[in-house]
Amino acid sequence: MTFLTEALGSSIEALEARPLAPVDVAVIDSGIDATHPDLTTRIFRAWRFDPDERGGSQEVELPTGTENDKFGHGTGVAGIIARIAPNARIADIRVLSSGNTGSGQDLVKGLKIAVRERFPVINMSLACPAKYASELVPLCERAWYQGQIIVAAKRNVPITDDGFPAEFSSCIGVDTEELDSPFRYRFNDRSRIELVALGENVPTTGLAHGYTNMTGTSFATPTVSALVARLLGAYPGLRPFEVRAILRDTAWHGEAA
Amino acid sequence: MPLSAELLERHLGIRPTSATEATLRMLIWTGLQLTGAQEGSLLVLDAGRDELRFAMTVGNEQSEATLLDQPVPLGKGISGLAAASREVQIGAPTYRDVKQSQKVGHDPEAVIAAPILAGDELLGVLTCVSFEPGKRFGTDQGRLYGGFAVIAGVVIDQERRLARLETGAMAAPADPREQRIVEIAAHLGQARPDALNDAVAVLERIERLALAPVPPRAA
Repeated sequence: MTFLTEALGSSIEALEARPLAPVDVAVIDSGIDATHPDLTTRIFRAWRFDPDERGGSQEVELPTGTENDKFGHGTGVAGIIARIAPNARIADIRVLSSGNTGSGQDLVKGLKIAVRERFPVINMSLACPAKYASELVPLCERAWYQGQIIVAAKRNVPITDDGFPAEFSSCIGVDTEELDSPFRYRFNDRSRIELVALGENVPTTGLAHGYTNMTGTSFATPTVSALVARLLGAYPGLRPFEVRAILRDTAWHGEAA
Repeated sequence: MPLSAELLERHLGIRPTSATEATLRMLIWTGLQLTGAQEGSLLVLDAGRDELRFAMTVGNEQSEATLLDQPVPLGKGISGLAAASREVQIGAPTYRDVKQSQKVGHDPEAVIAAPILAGDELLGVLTCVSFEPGKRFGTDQGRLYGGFAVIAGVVIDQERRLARLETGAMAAPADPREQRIVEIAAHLGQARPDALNDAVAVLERIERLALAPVPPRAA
């Protein structure tokens, strides 16, 4: 039996019974509070963008254990990954600033870091404005050919697009639904957004070392990133197209809750 | 003039005589009926101070009296997150413990914050809150309220365009070459916003060279 047929025959939930290799997951988001007791040992690298002299921004790598989130969004995303994928090591790439400068350019720069560092799984719960789509295409293609898996959120309110890079075929796009387990997900082969996962009222880590529940596509996305991290932990040789095939093959086909 | 109308005029350019204020109020009220929220607010972007400001509250007269003109920092909270991410956010309170028995602050039980946009420009944030114990909003309710924020963006943008047309601010420059410069700048801003600084620098250099005093020629 090859590793792929073996992977296709087992549930991702059952993988916990076997040893899982560590898998690095980049979280491109509002940052992560790495001082949260549930996350201190899980965040192994962190970046943010500081203003530069030319009116743009420059990347700054931070020491481990930095409180790097003012909004709680990225801390919530990281908490979901940490809980579902015990083998995930999380890299924090903060791209949301506190001012009204828009995050699109920093989001592209954040993805560049993740691709450069070759993190096997890249979680993007924030969507880029459409004007940056052309910059994202070659980055996502490069990630795909390097064997990296980008898991990206559909917009909660898609008006002119479903969200970038979630729309791209080089990424796994994620929508949300009220499902009863993170290990129960749907594969939608009639949509550009292929996966539908649990993103409703998901318990996770919050600011001030607290706990909260998060809702929306942003929080269905780390559910899928964690599933991918578990798969790669069990079968480190999987290529992105194989991971997609396994997710499709192991998807749930029941009725919505 | 009521404070709400004054704030909408100051920050969004909505004229007090227009029906836009009433339309926005009706949008929030309809959103509250459909989501089961108790209060809804419109926060406008105070661009000069980089903060949001309550400009309208529906559902509770007392809240309207206390919240209007109160600032909310852009870099914090669920409204700031909706503004920074340009995405609908659905929030629940933060608790000290995993079992979620002890709240950290005095947050409402459930919140939706939806950005109001005109293209890529942030105009403000539409929020709705519930104080009902244990209440949580789902993605469907977030999408619904987010849809109202989209409509609010269109309504405000149309009102501002109309006001500019009426004051003649949108009239094209008489010289077609001036119009071409405006078009190039707009196109660049859309396609390559990162190149705008360089474009401005080049134009300023041309301006300096063109307007510099001409040195007297030797006889």
